[in-house]
Formats: sequence, structure tokens, C-alpha cells
Amino acid sequence: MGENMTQQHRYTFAQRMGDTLLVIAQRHCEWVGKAHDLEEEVALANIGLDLLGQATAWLELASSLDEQGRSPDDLAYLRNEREYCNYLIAELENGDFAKTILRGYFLSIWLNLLYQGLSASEDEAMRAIAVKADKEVAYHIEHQEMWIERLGHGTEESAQRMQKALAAVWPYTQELFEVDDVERVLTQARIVPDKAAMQQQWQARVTRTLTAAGLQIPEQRYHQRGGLSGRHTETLGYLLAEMQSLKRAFPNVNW
Amino acid sequence: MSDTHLYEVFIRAKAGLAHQHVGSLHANDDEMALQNARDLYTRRSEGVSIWVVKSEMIAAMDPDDAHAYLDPADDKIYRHPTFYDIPDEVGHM
Repeated sequence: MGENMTQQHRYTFAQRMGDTLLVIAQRHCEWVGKAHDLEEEVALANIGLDLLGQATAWLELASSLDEQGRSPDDLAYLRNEREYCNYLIAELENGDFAKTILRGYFLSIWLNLLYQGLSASEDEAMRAIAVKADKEVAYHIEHQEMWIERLGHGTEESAQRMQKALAAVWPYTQELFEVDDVERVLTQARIVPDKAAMQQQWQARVTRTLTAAGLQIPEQRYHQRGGLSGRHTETLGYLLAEMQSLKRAFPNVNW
Repeated sequence: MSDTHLYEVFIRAKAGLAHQHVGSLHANDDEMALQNARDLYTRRSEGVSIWVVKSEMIAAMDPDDAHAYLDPADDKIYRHPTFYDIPDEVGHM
């Protein structure tokens, strides 16, 4: 029972990671054709593709652990919103550039801490994913910190937009550290790092960056959650409809 | 966009080679220019090192001076050490 239980839990963890990364990758790629200059367009697309690569790795792991034997494509394209278990922050709409950068930054720091923890995981597959992915995330953080500093201290408009974006995204950050039974079992088995410890480090790093950029962290008492159990914002449906439309229209085609 | 500078980008393909000019990009400062260069010019393993230089910092030869600058070197074979027998072990010089 122990072995099987851990497999089921590992599947769930991998699925959450895959969904989260797939959704945030999709959001980044939505910027293609819309960025303010070519250089940033390529930067956002690059970040999106990095995240897509990570999503692929996690979905492949999830597929290998899936009791139903679904393929990574099945998991990505044939599950609906209620089945998706990504963290809500990933599905937030892009909004303006400030919001995109802040949303990305909060996720990047979380991923960095998570991947560092996972590189000591008892699970070999997760270790391999983490070691490779952390290098990509290091660059994302550099890029996002660069922008946060410049936009925070830029013009009055950029500072206002940053502050507004912070207010919009902040209520979705607490969910990243939610610990349910799945997490508890995996942390006990030394497969996944302790999210409570991660939260402190995350808070410290994020506070330092935001304060240095002249931004004020909101006083927030209510935090949004529900993504892990399939209760999503209204925007996920549209994202999935677009992302899954081709596969659903031509179900048996191979690329 | 105000405060945007044009930068020239140089990439060293591998250790031991020189940085080669690969193109240009716009950025507001050096740090951003380096990141943009990384995104635009190194996505297909083009190299191991990136230099960026503000285009205005580059002093370039005036094309009208090309003849005065470069032609005189062409017809003086006594300047080129081409009459030596170089052992094979030395390789390229």
C-alpha cells in the first residue's frame, strides 16, 4: 500500500507541476506579436519555451506514473478545467507588462527554491528535471528582477502600474505554499521539499526585490486558492479552449 | 522609445577564437543589452561569450578613405613573409 500510495502521490505532484508550467508557458507565448519591442518579444517567448520544456518533462513523468496510462499529450490536451490542477497564479491573464513580469517573478522564485530542494530528492526522475530546469529559471529571475527594478524606479506611470499589478497578483501567491496530504506524504518520503520552509525564503527574497524597487507589498488577508482541486478562475477555460482546439479537432493526427 | 541605444553584438563561438560581430539590437542600458543579446543571438548554441558595445562608441573608418587606407598594402609582396618553408609540424601561421 505504501509503494502504490507514493506512486499516486508522485503522479499528482508531477501533474500539478506539468499543468502549472504548461499554463504559464501558454500565457507567455500569448505575448508573441504584442510586445513593445522585438527584443522583449523574443525574451518572453524564450521564457515561455523554457517553461514549456519543463512542462513537457513533468508531463512525461506524470504520464509514466498515471494509472490510466495516458500519454503526455492526452494529459495536456484532453483534460478539461476541472481536471487541471495548476496553481491559480499561472492562469492569471497577462494584463500589462508589469503584471506579466510580476506574475512571472513570483513563480520563478518559487520554482528556483522548489528545484533546489528537488535536486536533493529521493526521486531520481524529479532530481533530473530539477537540475536542468534550475539553470533556466536562474535566467528568468535575472530578467524579471532587471525589469522590476527599472519599472519600479522608472516613470510615475511605470511605478503606478507596478503597484497595481502587485495588488492584483499578490492574493494568488499564498496558494504556492499550500500543503495538503499529497505534499505531506511526499515531504515525509523526502521526495519533495518542505513548502513551509520555502515560503519563508520566498518571502524574504521577494520582499527584498520589491522594496528595492520602491514598491509596497500589499496588506493581504484573503488569499485565493482552489487550483489544486480543479476550482479555477474563469480565464482558464478560454486558455484551454484555445490550446486544446487543434488536438480536439484532429484527434488522431500525428505530427 | 526615449533613452534607447543601439548596441552592436559580438559572440565568441568557442574558446580560443575571437568575438565575431553578429548583429545589433536596442536596449536602454548595458545590462539589458547583454540579456537581449543572449535572447536574440545565442538561442542555437552560437557561442560561449557575449560582448555588447554601444554603437556610438565604435569609431569606424570612413568608406571614402578605403582606397587611401587599404590599397597601399596590396602590391608590396616584400611585406609578406611568403617565401619561407614552414615545417608541417608548425601548422598554420
